[in-house]
Amino acid sequence: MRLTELLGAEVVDQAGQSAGRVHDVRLVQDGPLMGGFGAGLRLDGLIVGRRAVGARLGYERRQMHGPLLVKLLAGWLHHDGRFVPWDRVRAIEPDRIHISGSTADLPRPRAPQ
Amino acid sequence: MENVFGLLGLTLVVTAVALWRLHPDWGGLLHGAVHPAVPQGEGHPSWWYFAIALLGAAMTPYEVFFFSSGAVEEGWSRADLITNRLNVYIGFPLGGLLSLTLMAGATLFLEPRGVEPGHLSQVALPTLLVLGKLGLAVLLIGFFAATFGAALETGLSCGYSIAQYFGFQWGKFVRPADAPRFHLVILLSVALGAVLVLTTLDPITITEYSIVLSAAALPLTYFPILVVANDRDYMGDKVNSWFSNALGSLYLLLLVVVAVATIPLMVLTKAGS
Amino acid sequence: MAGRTLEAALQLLDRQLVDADGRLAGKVDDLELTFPDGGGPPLVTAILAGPGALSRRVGGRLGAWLEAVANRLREGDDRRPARVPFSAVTEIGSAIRLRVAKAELETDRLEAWTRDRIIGKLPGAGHAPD
Repeated sequence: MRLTELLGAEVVDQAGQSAGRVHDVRLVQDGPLMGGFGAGLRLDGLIVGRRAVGARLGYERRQMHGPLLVKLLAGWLHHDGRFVPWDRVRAIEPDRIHISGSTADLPRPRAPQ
Repeated sequence: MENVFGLLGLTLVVTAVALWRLHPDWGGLLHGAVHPAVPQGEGHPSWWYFAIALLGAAMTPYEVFFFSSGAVEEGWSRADLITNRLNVYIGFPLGGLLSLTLMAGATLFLEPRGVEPGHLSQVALPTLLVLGKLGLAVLLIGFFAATFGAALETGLSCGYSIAQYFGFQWGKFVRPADAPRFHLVILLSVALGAVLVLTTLDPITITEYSIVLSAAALPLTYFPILVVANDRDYMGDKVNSWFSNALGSLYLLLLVVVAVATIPLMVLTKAGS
Repeated sequence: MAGRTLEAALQLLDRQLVDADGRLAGKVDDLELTFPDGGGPPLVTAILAGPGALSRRVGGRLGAWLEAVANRLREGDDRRPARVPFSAVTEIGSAIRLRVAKAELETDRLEAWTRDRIIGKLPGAGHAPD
């Protein structure tokens, strides 16, 4: 499977409600050892949002210093972001991902390190 | 090699000498500069159109790629921040000043005679008549250095930006055989430029269109730089201060207004005619 | 660095690949994800790069043309994009550093073609300025 098959796909819950589109994918480095790289990157979950454009500038991270206006704008654009843990993914179709449960109980994404 | 052309370009200072020798009304010039007024016969939109063209000529996106790539090529480190700052604080104002003297000389000299410069040679007239053949010779060296230097810079900038976008090897510090696509892009860009000159298209019109359009594209280059300048992953402890950010944000707003106004103004004034 | 969190589209996609000698080897155009045999979430197993990988992201006619270019340059009947196994990665920062030299990577096809057919034939191609 390719990453780009997940990005942009619409996320739909069991009731048919849409949670938005996949803007990004969270990886955690705690998989089996991968040659010289160390622990492999495991797919932790999907970051979904309602906007069509998911381009993110990285303002969720603490390293971003400003400018203030841009920070506020970026925050407003992504205030409706939600996180789908991988264990809730039921089926992957072209441009559509089915998840268990309801879109209403999806957590907010934690700020990454 | 660009350093040689840069230094030779300083000979354009002769235009300032010529202007000084013309004994212009300095008070009047200053007054005109500080109190911008739309001259008789020109509409406000035309005046704004030319203002945007001048801004576009002073701040062209290609400079971003050229300077930043040049810094990587020369292996700049923190110690070179001072060089870069000097370059910006002294170099750019000097360039602006020389543009002003060129414009002032041409206006004072050609306008009363009803001559509208359509060719670079006409811009040389004030210097020729005030400083004679020696002045003209120095000015021609300056013209050559400036135009040839610009061709080098923009050609390289084409190579840099395209290579950096697609991720292939770029740089003059490697053999051409190790950066084939980069050199191919530069060759094609210069060839294309030469072909354009050989057509019957008016070079002044081409120049006008390209600087106005680059003024319209400025925010697209400016905004990413502003964001990266605030990212500690790239800049470490050298992220923008709140002051730089404030200035930067204001300037970005100005550029956005300019960019939005450009194409309508161009259509409205029929490219300033 | 166990447990480090990354966001793939933000920190991996479109990043520059730098080889063991510091040479530039293309950009990350896509990532290959493989489901482990024992079940569970997929792992990132390779970086995909070059026109073959980019074609999927671009889509449409242009994408189809890019894929045709990639396939022309590829020897044999392999119809897949150039692949850099993730074990070749040493560091993920503002660029992705690799432990292998560029020439060993499959992504070098178009560059090699341009070198052999065009630039390599010009005089001075083998000479670097001081």
